[in-house]
Amino acid sequence: MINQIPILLIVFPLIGGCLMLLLRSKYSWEMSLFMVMLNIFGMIYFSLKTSKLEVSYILGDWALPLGIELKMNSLSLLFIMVLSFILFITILYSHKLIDHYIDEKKKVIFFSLLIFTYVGYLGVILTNDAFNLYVFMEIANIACFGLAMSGNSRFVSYTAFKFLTISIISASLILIGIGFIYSATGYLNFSKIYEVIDKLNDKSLPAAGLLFIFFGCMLKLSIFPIQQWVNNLYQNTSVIFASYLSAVSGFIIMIILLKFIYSTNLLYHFQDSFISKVMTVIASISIVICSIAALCQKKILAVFGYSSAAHNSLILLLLSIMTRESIFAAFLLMIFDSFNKLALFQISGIMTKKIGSENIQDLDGIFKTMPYLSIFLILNLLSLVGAPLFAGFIGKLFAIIALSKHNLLTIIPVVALSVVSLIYSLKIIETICYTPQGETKIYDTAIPISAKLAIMISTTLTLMFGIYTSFTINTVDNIAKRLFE
Amino acid sequence: MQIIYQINFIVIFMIFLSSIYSLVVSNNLLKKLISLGIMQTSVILFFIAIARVYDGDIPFIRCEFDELCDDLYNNPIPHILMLTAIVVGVTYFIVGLFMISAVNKEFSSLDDNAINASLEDE
Repeated sequence: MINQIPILLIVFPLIGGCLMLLLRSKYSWEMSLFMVMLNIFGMIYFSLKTSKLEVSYILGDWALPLGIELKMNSLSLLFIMVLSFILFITILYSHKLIDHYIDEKKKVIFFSLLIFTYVGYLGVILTNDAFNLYVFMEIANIACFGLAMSGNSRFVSYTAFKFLTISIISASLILIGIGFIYSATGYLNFSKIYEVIDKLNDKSLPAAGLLFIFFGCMLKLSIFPIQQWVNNLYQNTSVIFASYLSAVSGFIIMIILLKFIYSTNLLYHFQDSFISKVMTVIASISIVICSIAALCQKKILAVFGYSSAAHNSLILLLLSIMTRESIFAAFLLMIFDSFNKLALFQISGIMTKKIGSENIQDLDGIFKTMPYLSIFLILNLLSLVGAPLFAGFIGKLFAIIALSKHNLLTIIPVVALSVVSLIYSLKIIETICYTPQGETKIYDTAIPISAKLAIMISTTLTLMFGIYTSFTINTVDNIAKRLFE
Repeated sequence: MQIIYQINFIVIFMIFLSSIYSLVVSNNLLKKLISLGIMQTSVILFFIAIARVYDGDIPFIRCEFDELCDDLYNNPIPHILMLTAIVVGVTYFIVGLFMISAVNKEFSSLDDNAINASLEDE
């Protein structure tokens, strides 16, 4: 049983999702929650029961260099737990809120599409084969398009089409990169590529392949020239999908990049090259522009959309330096940011639904009517800024350490990011806490318990990552060490 | 002269670039979707072009005694991988067509500049 855990983690949700869809069951929310919890308990059982370092499962018993292998070790344990928790919080949050967006008969489709994205991303984490990674990523992408169309706005199909365009371009670039690496080494298995790549004399082909994969992944994060599609998508689609996508997509992109960087072992090739300097400049410009854009927005969802673009540009800045500390900091930031963005989008989604408008001005005085939600929003904004005791502080601390070891000039965009995010966070906090003199507005503030629970879990995780940091830091440090052994 | 032997890669690269040009320049959403399909086709052709081995034979066993046959065969694995990629490309195209029909139902036009302008006005 232990030997087959990698395939069981993928197969049970997949079969569950297909069955749910075929039977058009009325209990789709309960079934999807059950599947995620089954996975979480399976992972806990695996980690307690075995002391082995690695479990490798070969699909169909095809012998290794040609066969597809699923590998699970103690490092992928953290990734799978983070992904499962993100999905668990999303499903909890969507219990009552989904009635705003989708009617009763089509709820099955929404939840089964969520389960299919979960299967796809799990496959990306678990697989050890490059083309299999591409296939699982496509499964998740195509399910995401169906989820993106679940919105109430007039422009939902148009922004979903822009999302499709960017996804196809990035998937094509990643596939070209896989083709370059395959033509250079002749193998698709990551472990086999790692063994073979040292024997090549001329490493320009796999370096070009890695660069294509890098650009394909960077298109999906929102960097300055291309940052508009993400913001339009988050504003026009349902809040459930916006929070889920913002939390998950950056995290999965980091995992894909880490797998390719680890197996091709080409970081020294790029460390002080021209392309690294170009990317540093682009990332710095993008941080400044996206932060200033976040400052000028009137709608609260747009502020968080641009701030997530700015934080993704910070990740690109760290990745473009390509030292051991910077990759460690980038990965840490990505894990902490995903829970933070999840909580921020969810809270602002509920608030805008209950008030009926999306402007920040209309949020004034909401501390009296929705005290718990306001406190959670303040806590998450403090983590976004990088206050100590929160997860954002640890992430920014390691980012500044990594950047200062390389070049002191690159700290300036990070400082600008922190200062500008402090300004708009304080603006939001001030609007929430102080009422104008005159009338106090009365809203229907019955918030479903499931949503409150979901937001509480994600905020607690943000706090917990800030206080008990050793588990995450040790795990990510192990990853970074393996890249440079 | 070496570059003339890579003529198939040059042609594939030209197809990829022309699809990106068409994606940027077109005003119609359907034309953008079709140019994305051409982009995926060029990537599939790239994999097939990798699979060719110089002086390679078709990967079938054609004669009884192995000593009389060539021992260089073309690589069949990229062809197999591209079957999956073709299916993925068709699925993207279908989903894109659904989205475009939803856009058409809402706005009764497929003009990208006009819809973008009304999105920015909001």
